[in-house]
Order: sequence, then C-alpha cells, then structure tokens
Amino acid sequence: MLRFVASRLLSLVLSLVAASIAIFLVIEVIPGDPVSYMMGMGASPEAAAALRAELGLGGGIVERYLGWASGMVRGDFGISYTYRVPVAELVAQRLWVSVPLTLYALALSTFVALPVGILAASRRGRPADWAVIGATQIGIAVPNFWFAMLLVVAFAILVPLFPAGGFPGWEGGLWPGLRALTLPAIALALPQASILARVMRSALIETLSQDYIRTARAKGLSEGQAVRRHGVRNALIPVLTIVGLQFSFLLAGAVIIENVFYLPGLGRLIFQGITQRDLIVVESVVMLLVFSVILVTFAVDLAYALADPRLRRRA
Amino acid sequence: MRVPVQLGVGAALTAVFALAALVSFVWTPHDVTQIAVSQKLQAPGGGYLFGTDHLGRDVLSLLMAGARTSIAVALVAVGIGAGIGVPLGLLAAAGRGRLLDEVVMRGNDLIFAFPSLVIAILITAVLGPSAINAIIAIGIFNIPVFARVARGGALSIWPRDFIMAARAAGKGAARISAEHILPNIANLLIVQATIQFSLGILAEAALSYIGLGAQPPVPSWGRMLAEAQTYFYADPRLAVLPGLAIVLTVLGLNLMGDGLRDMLDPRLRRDAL
Amino acid sequence: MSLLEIDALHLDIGASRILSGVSLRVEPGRVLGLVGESGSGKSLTALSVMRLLPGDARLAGSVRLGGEDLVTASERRLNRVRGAKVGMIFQEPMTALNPVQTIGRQVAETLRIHGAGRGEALERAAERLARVGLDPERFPLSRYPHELSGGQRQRVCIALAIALRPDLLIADEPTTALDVTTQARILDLLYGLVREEGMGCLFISHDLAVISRIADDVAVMKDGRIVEAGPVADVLSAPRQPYTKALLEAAGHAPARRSGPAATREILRVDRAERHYPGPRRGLFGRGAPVSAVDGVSFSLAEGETLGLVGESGCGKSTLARTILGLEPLDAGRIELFGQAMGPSFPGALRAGAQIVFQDPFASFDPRWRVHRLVSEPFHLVPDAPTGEARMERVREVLTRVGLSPQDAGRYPHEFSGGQRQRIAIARAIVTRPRLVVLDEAVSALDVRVRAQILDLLARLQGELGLAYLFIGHDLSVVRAISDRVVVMKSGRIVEEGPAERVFGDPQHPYTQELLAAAPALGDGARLRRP
Repeated sequence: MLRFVASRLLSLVLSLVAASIAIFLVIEVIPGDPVSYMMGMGASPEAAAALRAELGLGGGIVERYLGWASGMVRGDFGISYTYRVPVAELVAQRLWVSVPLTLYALALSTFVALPVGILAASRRGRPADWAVIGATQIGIAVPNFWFAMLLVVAFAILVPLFPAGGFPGWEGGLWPGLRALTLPAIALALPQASILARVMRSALIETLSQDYIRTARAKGLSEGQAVRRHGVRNALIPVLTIVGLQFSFLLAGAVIIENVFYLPGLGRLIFQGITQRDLIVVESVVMLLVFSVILVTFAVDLAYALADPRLRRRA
Repeated sequence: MRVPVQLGVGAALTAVFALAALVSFVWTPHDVTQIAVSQKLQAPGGGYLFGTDHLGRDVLSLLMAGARTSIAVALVAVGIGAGIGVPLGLLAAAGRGRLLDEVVMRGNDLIFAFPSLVIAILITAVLGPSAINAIIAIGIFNIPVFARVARGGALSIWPRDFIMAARAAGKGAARISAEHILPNIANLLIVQATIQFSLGILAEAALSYIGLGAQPPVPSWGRMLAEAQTYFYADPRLAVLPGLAIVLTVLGLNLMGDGLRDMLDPRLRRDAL
Repeated sequence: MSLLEIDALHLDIGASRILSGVSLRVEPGRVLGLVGESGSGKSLTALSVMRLLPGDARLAGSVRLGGEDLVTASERRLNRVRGAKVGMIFQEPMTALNPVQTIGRQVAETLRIHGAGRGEALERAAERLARVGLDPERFPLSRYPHELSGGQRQRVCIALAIALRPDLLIADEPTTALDVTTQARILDLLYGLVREEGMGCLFISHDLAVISRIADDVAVMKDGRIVEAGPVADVLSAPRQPYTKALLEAAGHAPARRSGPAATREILRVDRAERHYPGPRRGLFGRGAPVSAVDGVSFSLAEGETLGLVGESGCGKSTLARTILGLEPLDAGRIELFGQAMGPSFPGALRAGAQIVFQDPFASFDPRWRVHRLVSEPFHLVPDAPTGEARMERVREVLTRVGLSPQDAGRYPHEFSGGQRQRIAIARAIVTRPRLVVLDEAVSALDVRVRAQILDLLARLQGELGLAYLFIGHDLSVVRAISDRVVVMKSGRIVEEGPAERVFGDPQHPYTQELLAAAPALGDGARLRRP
C-alpha cells in the first residue's frame, strides 16, 4: 500500500510539472505585451522597463518559468496586471463561489443519479428502465447554459423562487448563498447526473451478470439481497472513477454557468482575464484548476485501491 | 440483423439536420447576412416560417446555416481526434508494456487533466476566436478519447489466437494493426465517433455562446442563444428554437450511437447467431 | 423414496426446447454422474433443480427434494431451500467468488442468510473451511479470493456450498477448469464429503473418466433427454445404447498410425533454451522480478515424428512452442529449425515450413475474414507464393484434404461448428506444405467424439504429407495415443523424456508418476470406491 501511494504521488508530481510547463508555454505564445496594454501607447521606455521588472517579465524563458513555478509553490501567484492586487487574493475570493458551486452540483448529481441508475438496472427492460434511459438521453443532449436560461425563466421570473443571477456572499448567512447557487448547480448537474445514472446502470448490469452473483443466489440470497450485497458495492468501483472525472467537467462547465448567472467565481475571473489580457490571472487559475483535477484523480486512485483488495495487495 | 428502434429514430433526426445543413449551402429561404431592422422580431407566419430575430433576419435560415457551422466544426474535430488518436492508440497497444505505451498513455492522462472547456477557452484566447480555432480546440480534446478507446479495443484483440496466427504467418505489428486490429475495433470507433460528434456540437455551441466560437457573420446556434438572452422573456421563441435544434441534433446522434452499439456489440450479436 | 426425484422434466427457454422429459434419482450418500457433450442440457438440468433459470424459462414436470416439489414452490420458499437443503458449486472457481469480499465472509454468508448470528457463522465458516482442507492457521478467514489458487478457490466454493450440511450437493463440472493433480484432490474431497456426511450428490461432467472415478451411478444425456442410466460399473463396462457406446469408444480412441519414424533426419533441435518474462511494470520506471517461463530446455524432433509435450498449466509449454516458431525471443540457449538458428533474421521461406494450430477454435480466426483469406494467410511467408486462381486452387485442395468442401472457401468462420473450425485451422497450417506442425492443445476444447475425428485426421495427414508434430497437451491419454516420444515439463524444465510407451508404462520421475496417478481413466471407479 505504501509503495502504491508513493508511486501515485510521484506520478502526481510529474503530472503537475508537465502541466505547468504546458500552461506556461501556451501563455508565452499569446500575442500582445501586457505592459504596453497596461500603460497605453505613450509610456516612456523607462517606466515600461520598471513595470516589466515588477511583474516578473524580465529574464530568459527558463528563468521566468522557474520564478513563476516557485512562486506558485509558495502560494505567491504574482500580481494581476489589471487589478494590481495579488492574484492569490483574487483567487481566494472567487474560490468561495466556485468550490461550493461545484460541490453542490456534484452532490446533486450523485445523490440523484446513483439511486436512479440502480433502479433502472434492477428493473432492466421494464418500463422504469425505459423511462430512465429516455430521460437521461435527453438530459445529456441539453446544453447546460440553455437549460440555465430555461431555469431562470421558470424559477426566477415566472415563479420567483430563486434569484436570476448574482451572488450575495456568505456574510448574509448560509441560506441566501445556497439560494443563489441552487439554479446554477441544477443546470450544471443535469448532464452529469444523466451520464452518471447511465454509467451506474450499465456497471450494475455488468456486475449482475458475474458468476459470483449466481453463487450468491445458490446460497439462498433473494434477488434483491444479491443486488444489494454483491451487486451495488462492486459496481460502485467503476462508478467512482466517473465521479472523479466529472469533477473536471463540472469545473469547466462552471465557467459558462457562472457567466449565465453573473456569479463572481473562477470561471468569470478566467474569462475576464482573457478579454483583458491579464495573462498572469489566466495562467494561475488554469494551473489551479488542473491541480485540483490531478488531486481528485489521485484521491480517486487511492479510494479505488481501498475499495478493491486486488489492487491493494498487488501494489 | 434487427435494426434497433433507437437507431432508426436517431438516424432520421440526424439526417434531417444534415440535410438542412447541406441545403443551406445552395439555398436558404432568406439571406442570413441581410439585416432589415424594419422586419425585426416578426412573429412566425407570413414570409417567415419561424419569424425573424432582433435584426430582422429569418430565423429558419439562421437555423439552417447554423446547422452547417455546428456539423462542420464537430465533424472536422472528430476527424482530427480520430486521425491522430487512433494511430496513437494502436501504436501504444502494439508496444504494450514498453516505454512508448507508457508515454502515450501518460500524455493522454495529462490532456484529460485539463478541464476541456477551459483549455478550449485558452486556445481561442491565444489564436483569437473563430470557428477554425474552435475546431482545433475541440479536436485536441478528441485525441486522447480516441487514443484510449483504440488502445483498449486493440489490447482486447492482441492476445487472441488469430493474432498469433498472423504473427506465425510472418506479419509485423503495423500490418497486423491495419489488417486485423483496426477492422475489429471499427465498431467501437464508430460508436465513439458519434458520441464525440454530439459532444463537439455541444462544445461548439458553448464556445459560440460565450463569444469564443464562430464570429459574425458566420451563423451559429450558440451565438443565436447568446443574442436571444436579452429578449428571452419578451420573445422566448428566439431562445427556444436554437436550443431545441441543439437538443434534437445531439439526441439524434446519441440515439444513433446507442443503436449502433446494440447492433454491433459482438456479445449481443453472438446471442442472435 | 429417493432424496431427489426428477420426473418428466421439460424446460423451454424462449422458443427452444432444452429438456424433454428428464427423469433422474439421487440417493443419499451416493454420487449420480450426469454425463453429456456440450449443449446436451446437463447444466440446465442442475439449474432447474435450483430454479435459477433465465427469466423467459418455462419449466414443467416435477422435481421433488425429500418429497417437496420445487417446480411449484414459491420464490420465498426456494430461498430457504437454496443453500440450506441444496448446495451448488460451479465450473469456474476464478469467477465464482466475489473479488472484494473475504473468503470467511462469503462462507459465513450462507449461514447468516439462513439465520445464524455473526459470531456463530464465522466460527462455523472456519470449521467448514478446515474440513475442505483450508486450515485457518494457513488460510485465515481474512484472505481474499485473488490470494488463492484455482484449486483453493474451488475449496472455498465447496465450503460455502456445504456450510449448512445440505441434503443434496450439485457439482457442475467442478474440476474442468483445474489441472489434473488438483482435480484428483478435489474429487477425493468431494467423494469423502458425500460418504461422511451422507449427502446425495449430482455430479455433472463431460468427462467419462472423471465420472467413472467419482460416481456410483451414471446417467448419459443427449439433446435434452436421458439416453441411458444405471450403476457406473454396468453402464461403462456394458453400455446398451449406441450413443453411450460411441462416447466410450471416442474417449479411449487411439488413431491408427504407422509406428515409429521412418527417417531419423533431425528437423528441430532445442538446446538449453531459456525464456524469461520481465516482471510487471511498477510505475513509470520500476519493474518486478523477472519470471522464468522456459528454463534450460533441450530436446530434438525428427522428420515425420510426433513428440508429445505434457505438463500442467503454467509449466511453460505454450511459451516454448511460440519460442520455437520465433514468435517470442529466446533469452538464452539455441533453437535450430531445419538446420538454421532461429532468430529475427530467420528466412520467411524456411519459417513457412513450421506452422501452428491453436486450442480455441473460436478465437483462432479473424471473424471478419472469409475462409480462403484465412487459410492463405501463411503464404505471406513464402516469397514466390501462388496468387490469384492458383492460390484459390491450393486453398480448395487443402480444404478437401481436411474433409471440408471447396465451397467452404467463401464462407465466414462463424458459419462452422467447433470441429469444422479446427479443420480450417489445420488447413491453414498445411497450406504452405510445412514439415513441422505445432499442435498447441489443438484438441483440448473439443467434445469427445469430435476429438476422436480430429485425431484420426491428424494421423492421416501425417501419413500422407510426412509431417512431424509437436503435440502439446495436458490430457495424458490423448498424448499417449498419438505420440512416438514424450517430454514431461514442470515449472519451465523437462523432468522426463523417452518413448511414449516407456514413459507412460514405467514412469521414472516422481512428478510423472504423480501425473499418471492423478489422471482419471475409465475403470478407475473400483480403486477409489474401496473403503
């Protein structure tokens, strides 16, 4: 087990290094000089050079990469070109919107999808199964930003249960914040829940065709007992991977949904960063998103090993 | 072989939109680039089947031309993904356990670690927003998907005895991959292609919606939605129609993919024999 | 009254009739062997007793266990019967256990589901595991299935089937997936359990020799009907029905072949050959310790000769065969084929002189290719191979030679039965007119009557074409019937070598002796049933 953790940790660090180099290079080739953008056309060369040094834009490419990467490790993400405040501060504020939104959506999708998938698999071929297949098929086909627009009309304008956009902050208490995040979370969760329900269904059907289910029935377990005791737990192992992968989809989806609902999250930040050529912000936020995806993948790998004794021992 | 119902429905839906896209090359009811503010926000009927938008353009014509953009972007992106990903996956499978395989698969994992839409946004930020750059961005993310499917399928074929027989006939890995492996994983790849096609349409719509996809005057469903957002409450038709077009196209492709899977799945087919 | 009475049992699944009027009796403390070829309905008879049938199955007739009819019993009642009054074990021990639960928990589950408390269930699980030979000292309850060998897993399956001392034990091909020495031990265990605990046992097998070893009574099944039934001694020594006679004859079949090689010209020489596999990858850079599959093997093969290569699974015999054909690299030693050292630069034209036939007739062909293309694939090795009509002509000729029709060239492999496919595989192996054919378990997956036909075909082709065979197998009686000389392999090494009659008649090495003692043979019964 220790070996396994060590080898996964090593690949985690390697992935992070590779990802940071890739992001850094992409940002490097973006045309446009942030300094001339910030100071306008008529800036003096001396002032420009001073600003360049302040922003850490001097020196060779390797030097700049190392400076940026080591800053990241220390928690120093640099200074935003447009806001002129530390990026870390900006990001920290936005995390308070994006992380709760992603977790909210993940929880919604998981808690709805798993029981629905299990229901469909254990009623395979019967009306309940067909209903689930049909509903999830539509759920996958709906673009989440369009679904978000429909939700706004239905539950913010026609029946004003939730706000149509904006975020009041957590200072006013838990409920107003959650209320503002509910429609975005539903919009985010719908396609993911549809995918998850289908994966759960097919994983359980696959598991139920295994020989050990027949062994269980031969022991005297009823159909339901066999599904619960041997089917669901074993089927959850592949489902876990998908839940992990969805984290990354939800983060990406949040970029668009935050725009629909005018939520001040990471998605809006990265979007503004691009339109305002605030590349240091873009770089940092992308790195942060990738870091969280790699971290979640690592956690899923560990959970996988804990759930499956074959991996536990072999590793 | 019985054709599944969903395959029929899916193929019919897909055919309708593909046909609309093709026809739009030579004919649309009205010129989509022609702005006539005097005709704006016309209700359906009269000269306009689905009415006009806020600039007086014919919505049906926009939808037809938008289908063209969506389908072209997604199709080329699938081509990029399959064209690069499938050979990579076959290569990785042929060199299983060697460093090459490890490098290809780790590279794959790395691309998977990037939230795809975020990177698409980044790429369009570097290259500037346009339909071509949307294709590149979506295409890059199709590569690891196809590589993974091709490798997984190939790995299940390689240990079979008929591959050993081909090797006993003196055939090398490249020839075996082309003659035996590729035809036997074609089912998997076709099904994956329909899935990536539908995901590509959704991604193109999302990129255009936030202004990083097709630029005016190229018509696009995603941008129609973005433009309709302000008028949504006043005239929901403008937002509902392009949304429905996206849902129906994606639904059609997904139904077709599911149907193909059922029809081509060797496990299901063996029962029928 | 018998323990289990099956009367006029009919089973339909979907539109097809599986069982037509099956009647059987199982007595307490006795083993009823149910024997038949694949597709005869023997496994579905067992599953009908358990009422574990697919959803669209329709059952008619009666199955009485201790007087209670199971065909009309409610699902609730059946759940009380399964596991408590009837235990069942299956063919594939590798997949029959839940991989993510401990063996103790899985054995205890039988007890728990029928009302035992947790502590009591675990205690009795340990006791039953000890009874089947898994001593809790060496195999604690906390083990997982993947930590056990196939034979040990089958013992776990037996333990959970007999945990509640059921009246009836159903064993569906319980030793088919196991090696011969492991099979012998499992058969002994089952036989002892039946005698000791007074259970009745319904034992299903395709192998008459296994049945003759364990069963007291036997029923022969064909196409969903019982053809013949009676005490084992009577039925196997004096069968009354033609089908039973045909089965028995095929099981002991020895093809007529000329004895001994006429020529002694050597065509293959293997000299201290070694093949190691690198250990499994660990992360990006590391590797586990290498595994030695072939470890210093030497032997030779003469023109027109048949060399039998015997060993249990994992002994390295298939790896050796692939190494000889240059399909795997050699790590040390030397292999000379037709006088030339095997290696990457071995000329294709010479390699065309050595071909191979595999075990599984279903996996041997690319399902998307037609027969003519499949059969002519080895022409790839021949520089001046015939093309066009000349090639088709050759394909038709070899198809005729292996007993198929020339028209079969245009069909796909899935249109043929298992035996016919093995004929196509042989046609592919002889199309380049080779001098050596490697037969890698080539008859192991076939039903006994088909196997006899293929063995006859191989013997005929050898006479006609002067072929040398390297015949790899695990079934000693088959290897004995077709080989001139035999080598016995264990863990990558050759432990004994010599003329077939000498090795089987007077084995010298303890491992060969163990193999021969373990291999079931027709007429075994008397020996085992002695008290």
